[in-house]
Amino acid sequence: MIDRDVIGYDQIYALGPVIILTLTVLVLILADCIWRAFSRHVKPGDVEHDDPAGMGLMPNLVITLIGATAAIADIFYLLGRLRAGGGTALAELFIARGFPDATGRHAWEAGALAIDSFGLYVALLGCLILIAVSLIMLPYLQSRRLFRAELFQLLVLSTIGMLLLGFSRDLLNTFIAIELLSLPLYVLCGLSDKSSASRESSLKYFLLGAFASGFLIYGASLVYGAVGHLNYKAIAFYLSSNPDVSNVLLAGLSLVGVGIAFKLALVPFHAWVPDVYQGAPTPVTAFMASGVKVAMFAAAIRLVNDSLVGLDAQYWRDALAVFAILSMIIGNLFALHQSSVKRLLAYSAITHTGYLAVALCAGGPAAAQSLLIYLAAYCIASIGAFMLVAYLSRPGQDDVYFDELHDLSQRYPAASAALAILVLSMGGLPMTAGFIGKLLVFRDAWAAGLHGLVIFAVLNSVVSFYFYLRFLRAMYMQPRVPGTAPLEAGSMPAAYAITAVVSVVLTILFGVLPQLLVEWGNSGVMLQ
Amino acid sequence: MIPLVSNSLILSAVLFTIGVVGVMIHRHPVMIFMCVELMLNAANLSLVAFNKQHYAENWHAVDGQVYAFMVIAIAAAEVAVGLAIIVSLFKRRARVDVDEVNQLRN
Repeated sequence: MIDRDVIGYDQIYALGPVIILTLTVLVLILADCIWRAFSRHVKPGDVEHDDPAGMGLMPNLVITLIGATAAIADIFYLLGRLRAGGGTALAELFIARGFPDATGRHAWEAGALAIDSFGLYVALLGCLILIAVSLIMLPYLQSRRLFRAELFQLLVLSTIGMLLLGFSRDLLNTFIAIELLSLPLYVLCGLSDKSSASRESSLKYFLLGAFASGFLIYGASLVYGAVGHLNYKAIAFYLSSNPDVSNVLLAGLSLVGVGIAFKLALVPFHAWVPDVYQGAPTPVTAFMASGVKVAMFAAAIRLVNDSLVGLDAQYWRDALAVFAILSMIIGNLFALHQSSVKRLLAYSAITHTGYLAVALCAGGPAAAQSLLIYLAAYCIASIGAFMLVAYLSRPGQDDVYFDELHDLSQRYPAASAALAILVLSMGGLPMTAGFIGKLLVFRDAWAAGLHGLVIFAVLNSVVSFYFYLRFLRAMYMQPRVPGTAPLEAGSMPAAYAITAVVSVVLTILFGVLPQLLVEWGNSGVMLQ
Repeated sequence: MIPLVSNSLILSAVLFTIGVVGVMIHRHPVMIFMCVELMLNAANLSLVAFNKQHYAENWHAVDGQVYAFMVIAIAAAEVAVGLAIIVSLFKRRARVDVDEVNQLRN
């Protein structure tokens, strides 16, 4: 039997950020009820008619921002306590232990949630993404006249799932956190119910997401069958103490891998990505491209570092390397000739999944830190780029096509320059943040002996410049295409301007002074 | 292994396979969704059966059975979200067929 502490009540403070965000959701729901009950003109469902400026969304936005800021403050407080304590983890919650041996020592002992600095940094990224996406949500909704008050609750709920994924060291916990991350996103994709593209993206994301979670939980049940527990440390202990790996465990781990690969959008499980990214409302796409990627890669690197380390690399590393190579090739090939900017960014997200999977192949604590740095740089660039797409796109269309970008540099010089810098950072141009992320990820993989994979990834990132440079060509050099009207975006709302300036400044700052980002990432130590 | 457990495990593998094949061959979103539910229930069955196998003599160890309850709760939440999405699609068009939901590809 497994000996376990049900919960460490004295350590529950370590879940502070999650608790704060949960309270935020409750306050948001209450505030929405009060708003609907006491405002005389507005009945549920017809907010549009009596609230032309969408001011009814303001209280929800303010509550969300306060909640996210409080969670960030708590994360910094917890990081301070962690540093003062000197250990690698602040707390482990829901601790389980293996059988004690003759001397009374437990074979393994680990919590289902590890509050270490890696998890806290993932939580920090999640809260920052929440703030950025809620900020760009408001002008987006105002320009589309889409006043959906419930979307802030859904955004915060999804962020809670991200936080839990960053801490999770137990397959069941990971499953529940992935569902908590995904279920609100299925709804958010169908946010603009007037557009059939949005409904289509919602249906596709939902059906494929549910399919993936079926694989994940059935795989987890097989792992449970082989190991008798779902804790990552229990799996690692089982692997190290049984040299002959059982087929049930291998089947279970591969099904879990398929489930996670669906959510990561690794080729060949990527088919949903272009449609979902293109059809979803653009701020939601920004949230998916940044937040979901951070959370899922955090979960994947924990699974690799905590449990797969005991398994012979031939069982998992080669398969993962093939998926990484396929993701880079397919992502690059399909991105070359897209006419839609959102679809191109979706394929580029698949390529980035390939690069990040190179770091997963390398494994180990250093790879986790490089992943954090890469993901931070990529999130900054992708939120900024999708925000500019939301700003430039026509209200009825929710997407930008390359033909429409001609002489954008003359009419909107600041927006064009920002978009150019952000996509070049995605490509990994030196002096931008994206370069640092790529450099570190490739360095770790090289150190782990994956020379062929690294050379292949570098070649691919050179090829990817072709389609990132298409943005510059379209904005700065492209002659007018007959039959396309120029984009009329108007002046930039303050929330967009703030996000654009912050993302461009951070991209260049981290590119010129990489030690800022590198020191931050290297202090994100994962509990082993 | 007691026969009940091994039979349950075979049944759960069969259910899972039916679910996966069903998702791939069905065209109606509700049918696809029911096949996904079949996959989740296959996982529940095997969690409970494996729990019985691991802790046959110990009635207090019920991890697997508790996991199954978690999965049931998650599946219920998925139903709530999923059926709402399918109904909102259904309201706009009389027929729902995943092959016809292809505006974004064209």
